[in-house]
Amino acid sequence: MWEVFARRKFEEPLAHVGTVAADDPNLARVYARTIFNEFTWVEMILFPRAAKVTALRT
Amino acid sequence: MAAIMTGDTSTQGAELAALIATLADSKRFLGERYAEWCTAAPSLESAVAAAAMAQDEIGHARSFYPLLQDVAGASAETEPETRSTFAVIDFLRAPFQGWTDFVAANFLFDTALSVLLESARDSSLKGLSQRARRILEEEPLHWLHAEGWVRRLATLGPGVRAALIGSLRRIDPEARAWFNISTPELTAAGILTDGADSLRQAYLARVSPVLEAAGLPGL
Repeated sequence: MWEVFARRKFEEPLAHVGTVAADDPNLARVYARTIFNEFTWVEMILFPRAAKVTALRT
Repeated sequence: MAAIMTGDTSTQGAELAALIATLADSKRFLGERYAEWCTAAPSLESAVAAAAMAQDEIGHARSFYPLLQDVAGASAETEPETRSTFAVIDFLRAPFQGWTDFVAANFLFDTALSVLLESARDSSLKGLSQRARRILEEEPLHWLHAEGWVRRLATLGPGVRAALIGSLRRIDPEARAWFNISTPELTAAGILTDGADSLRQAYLARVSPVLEAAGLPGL
């Protein structure tokens, strides 16, 4: 599972837009771009959920 | 450099018309085959990707038919809605038999189309060079999808792997022969920069490293 972040303007922060399921990074890129295509993004990044680092949990 | 003018009825003009018709019909049929998997792909994500790629391909086809009218004249056979004879490889004339057919067409024939369009980037026919450059902006995503799925299917067990190899071997000879559309007359006129043999070499240079890295037999 990959977490997808994107922004519409460079002066805006990246925002979480959703997730995609893929076991290949290139397929994850394709899926993220084809699924979350509702805006003309200036940047979109994704990272594997397994790479998350928890800083706080209550 | 020999010139091929639009509306030309010479042999060269006929070869130009055949090239544009082949590009239009190939994009159209590839898009239609992709579209058939919008609701049948292995995952929701790949279904959306299939839909997006189908939309791209059909859009590319739609852009080529007006150019076909420019070079061959307006007729029922140059109108996409009334055209009845299509210049397309046999692999695309019938629905894909499985997802491995989809991936093989995406990997080999979509790539063959891109290789040929790269040879049209600087075409002496401005309408062709403009379309080629625009289309090639969208194709990298198709390539990522193709090579990602080739890698994935190669690891999904012997049955899937054998099916993929079968699909690749059925479409590859047609994809390679399809490059014969680049005739010496078209390269001499600057319509395309590379002949059929050069295009085949470029195609193999693109796909072979992926097959090798995935542990699949070469073409």
